[in-house]
Amino acid sequence: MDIAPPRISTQTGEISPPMIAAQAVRKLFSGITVLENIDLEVRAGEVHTLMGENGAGKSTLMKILGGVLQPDAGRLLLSGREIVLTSPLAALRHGIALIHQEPLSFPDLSVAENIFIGWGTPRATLGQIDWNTMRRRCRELLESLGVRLDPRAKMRGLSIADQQMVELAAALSHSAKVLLMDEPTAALTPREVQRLFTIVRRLRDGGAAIVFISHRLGEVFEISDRITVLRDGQCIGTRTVGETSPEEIIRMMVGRPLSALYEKSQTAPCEPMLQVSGLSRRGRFTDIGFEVRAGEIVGIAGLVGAGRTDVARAIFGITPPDAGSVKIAGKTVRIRSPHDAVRLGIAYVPEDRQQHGLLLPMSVAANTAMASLPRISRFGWLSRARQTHLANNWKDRLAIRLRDVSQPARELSGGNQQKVVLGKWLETDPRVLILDEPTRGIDVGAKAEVHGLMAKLAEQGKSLLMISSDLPEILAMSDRILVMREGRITGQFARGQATQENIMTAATGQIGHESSGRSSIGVGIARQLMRFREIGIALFVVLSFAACAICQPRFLSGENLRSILLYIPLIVIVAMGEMMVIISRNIDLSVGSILGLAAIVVGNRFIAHPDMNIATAAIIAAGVGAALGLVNGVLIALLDVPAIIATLGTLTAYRGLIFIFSGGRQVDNNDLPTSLMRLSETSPLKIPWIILIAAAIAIATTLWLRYSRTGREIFAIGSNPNAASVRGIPVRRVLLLIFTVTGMLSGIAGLLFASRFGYVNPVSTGSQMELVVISAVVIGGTNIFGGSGSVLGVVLGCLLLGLVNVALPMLGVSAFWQLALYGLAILLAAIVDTLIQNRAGGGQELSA
Amino acid sequence: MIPTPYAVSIRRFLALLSFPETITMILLIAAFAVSASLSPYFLDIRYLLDSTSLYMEVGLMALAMTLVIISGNIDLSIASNLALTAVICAKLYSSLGVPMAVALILAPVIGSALGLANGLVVTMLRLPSLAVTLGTLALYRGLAQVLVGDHSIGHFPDWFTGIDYRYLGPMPMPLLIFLGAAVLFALLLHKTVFGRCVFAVGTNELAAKFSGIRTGRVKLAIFTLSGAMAGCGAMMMLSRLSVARYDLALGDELAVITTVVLGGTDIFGGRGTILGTALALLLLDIIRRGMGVANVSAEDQLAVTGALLVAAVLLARLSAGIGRRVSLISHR
Repeated sequence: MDIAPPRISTQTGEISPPMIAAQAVRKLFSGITVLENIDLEVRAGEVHTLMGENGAGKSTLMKILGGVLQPDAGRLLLSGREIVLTSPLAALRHGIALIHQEPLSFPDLSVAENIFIGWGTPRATLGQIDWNTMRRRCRELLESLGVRLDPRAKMRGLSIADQQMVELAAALSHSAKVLLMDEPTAALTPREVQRLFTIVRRLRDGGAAIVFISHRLGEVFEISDRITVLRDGQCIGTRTVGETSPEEIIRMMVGRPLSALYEKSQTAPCEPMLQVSGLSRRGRFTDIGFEVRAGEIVGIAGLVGAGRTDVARAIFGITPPDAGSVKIAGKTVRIRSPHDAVRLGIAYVPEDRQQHGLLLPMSVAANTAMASLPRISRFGWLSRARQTHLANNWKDRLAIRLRDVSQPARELSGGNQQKVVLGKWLETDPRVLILDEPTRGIDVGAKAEVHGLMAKLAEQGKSLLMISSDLPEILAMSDRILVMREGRITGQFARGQATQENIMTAATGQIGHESSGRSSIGVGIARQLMRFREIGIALFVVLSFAACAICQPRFLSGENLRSILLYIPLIVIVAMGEMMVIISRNIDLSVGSILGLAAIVVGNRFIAHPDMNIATAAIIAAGVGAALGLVNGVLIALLDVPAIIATLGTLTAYRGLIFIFSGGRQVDNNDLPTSLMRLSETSPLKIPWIILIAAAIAIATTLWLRYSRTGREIFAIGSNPNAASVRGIPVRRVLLLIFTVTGMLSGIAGLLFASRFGYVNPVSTGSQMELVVISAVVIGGTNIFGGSGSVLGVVLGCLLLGLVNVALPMLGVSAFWQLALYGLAILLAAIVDTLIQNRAGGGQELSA
Repeated sequence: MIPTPYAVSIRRFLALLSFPETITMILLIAAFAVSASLSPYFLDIRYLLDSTSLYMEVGLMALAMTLVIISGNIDLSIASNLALTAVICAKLYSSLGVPMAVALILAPVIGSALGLANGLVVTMLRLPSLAVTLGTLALYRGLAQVLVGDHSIGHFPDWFTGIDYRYLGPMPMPLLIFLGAAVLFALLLHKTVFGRCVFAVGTNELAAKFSGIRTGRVKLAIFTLSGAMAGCGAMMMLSRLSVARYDLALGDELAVITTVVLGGTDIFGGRGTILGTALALLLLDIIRRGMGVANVSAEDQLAVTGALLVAAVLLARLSAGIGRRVSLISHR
């Protein structure tokens, strides 16, 4: 094996206490001991790697060190002092940073913001966000890592390697002295790995303590100072890199006596049942070829990320491969969906039995029958009796321990749940059974039962493909063993040839020359599309304007222009609020009703007090709107009612209230004071007040969204709600605020509506406004899925729609097309936004 | 907990409460009692039966919407679908001379096609049903507006109109049609393979897909069914009102969703019954009638309906919370 020569490292800080240490740490998950009495010491200025098989406990230990999990026993020490880490945020404050394999970032925000948001964005004198300082600090941080990235680049367009760098920079911004990195090189190209290592060395020399988890022996020996090996939740030992060898490490990882608990399986294999050749899928696996004969058990060994599950999913039709062929019983087949696979007699017991193998809330009986529904039905008619009979049959045959087959599947223990999944698939009488980690998380007794079952199935002539990280299991059960590493088959062993050592050797090892790094696809396209959108809309506006002017000379008349220009500001004002709501991944359908209700309340007040001044009216309108918006906010942010339902309800409830308040009668021209009317006529600046007010609100919104902490947090919440709360962003409070503000803006628009049109009608005022506003917002570039949007785009969108409204009749097109056009706009915007998300590397693939 | 008979029956009562339908039933009885005390008409069975006719289109659409929501989706466009289908059929009859009988049969077909369009966009383009049906809500009604402007189309043949004045014994036709449809839907949802697939998709779409269920087809079918019901509702409404306008059933999507949620269907999918929807429909009808009898104006009733939707969701949360606590107690 070709590995780098052992380094001689200089140890620093021998006398002072280790930077971070774990003492007698113990952790249980549902009664199963995952970590037992772990002692670990990591010194300052050292790279310390944790190694072990899948399930040895490395990730769990890492999560405890990083504050994600809390130990059930034992303690953590930081520079000799005991600390308690209640959350990743608390760990960060102690200077301990956890770098994830798949970075937890905000795809729509820039690099600089991803580093600072939620934790502490640089502020200027008035408390507003200091973008220049932020960018400068970002550049400094990245430079200290030796990385060149544009602070303004959106995270979405970056490669995983670069995103990792940003996460590292974020850790450094907290002056983190302990860096925990879980498999950082898994998704990197060889060159990116070297770049990372240079940075790691620099940080180490600067006194940081770095804890790695890695499977790649070559890399581990290249970068580490010391290695600690875990096995079955216990600490086997710590070695200095210069004083050990890869062989010894492997022996420590796997060295255990093989227990006689497992069944030996018979081999009398016949014709090949499953033949796979040349199977490839970009970025996941390459050129996979093997066969499984009837009566044979083929085990696939390998470490996490090797691509084994991806291969299984390709065969089963979940994510079809890019190239290669699959043959069942000698016939080439096209498997494009699990349904096809099941029809061909293939079964797949997934790795994640709870999320992918079972429907937990449904009964055991229903779950058992899930893949064989035609069998328990006649002409589509389900027979409960047959279902129960089927379920009881498997309950007996598999010795499933439960109260009753009608109880929900989630009440069963892990082992029994797995048996239900097995029962489900065995009922389909498959020819090929793919089992992905079949005995993970199952107690010893159930394990033995599953193994016995597998042996029996092989005896019956079925072909079994077993993916497993449990080496003794693979060795005991398989007739042949394949080993995968980084998407390729790196070893094949027959029964008797394989040992734990040689399997592990084939599973670890140096990185190949081929890059397995997942690069982002179509980086530029997304950005271009977005810029194009705003320009496109602006162009469209100009063109439509010109077209109208040409076709109808009357279009350019002052009267007509006035009419356009005075309607648009109203939409703009409401759209500012709706935009913020949509950016935060919500929706507000009630804006029109709020507008109408505020207008009616103000109108009524004018009737009662004809000499009320405008300022008071404005306060009332804003106040009413804010109160109504607050109701939305409480429902959505505090009571967890989905936004669509809450605002659908308030839309109607408020419209009803309008009738109640108006007594059915319209508020007319003579009810409203002339001072109000004058708002839409002129002002000292020769431009009507309405337009000025709308412009002021738009500018204020732009500034707020750009320079205030809460404004930026709205984008973060919409971009990645989970990451937002992890970062300590007060999501509920922000949402409460957004809905209240939207209500307030709608209220103000209500007052201005009365000014513009001279009346308030309980039926029509504000009615259907929500559709206009939502269309304008989404046409204007605000992503309907949240996370991004701009005031300029929304204003352009409002302009466009306002123009279309007036232009249609001018061009001889029935004005009745309006509503249909709004609908089309929403649909098109949704489609475009989905395409953008798919292109810029944020693919809608099924999560592994 | 000491298992005295008293404690056991309390536990059973709480367990029963964890079924949302129970709460609906309780509300129904309460609403009936209140309304009856407000007006003696309520005890007149004839009156009650007659008054249901106003609401049966909502009922039909609610039946299909139950399936949509159970599957984890939503269809905001049904009322617009109804309007567009009604307008198209009316136009076929009045302008193109198509016999009304043919138009009658075409209505569910047209509605289905519109619903299928929703389904195709959702499954092929993988867009969330919320966004898609928000768009078609506007698009379909907009198209209805384009077709008919603000005119109404009337003068339908006598045999077609006045469905609410036709009876089979004491039962008005709309009610009978709804009950028949309800039975069919109940059988479909609770007794067939398809119904099982609907629940599976709404419970855990991935796991359902991994079990070999064709989730795409299930969703297509659900949206098509929703459209079909909108088409049937279109004909019923046309017969009842004798006019086709673009604003038919305006805002009725709210009533439909309220009915479904009030009936105990979980807005997040995976749980629901036709019985609950039917009970909720009755409940809403009684509330409306009750308000009418108490001289609450139609507009005020609007406010109440809106508030009801929100209340329904909150209630569902409450009963889910009770359900969880009950299972914690009984599975110690």
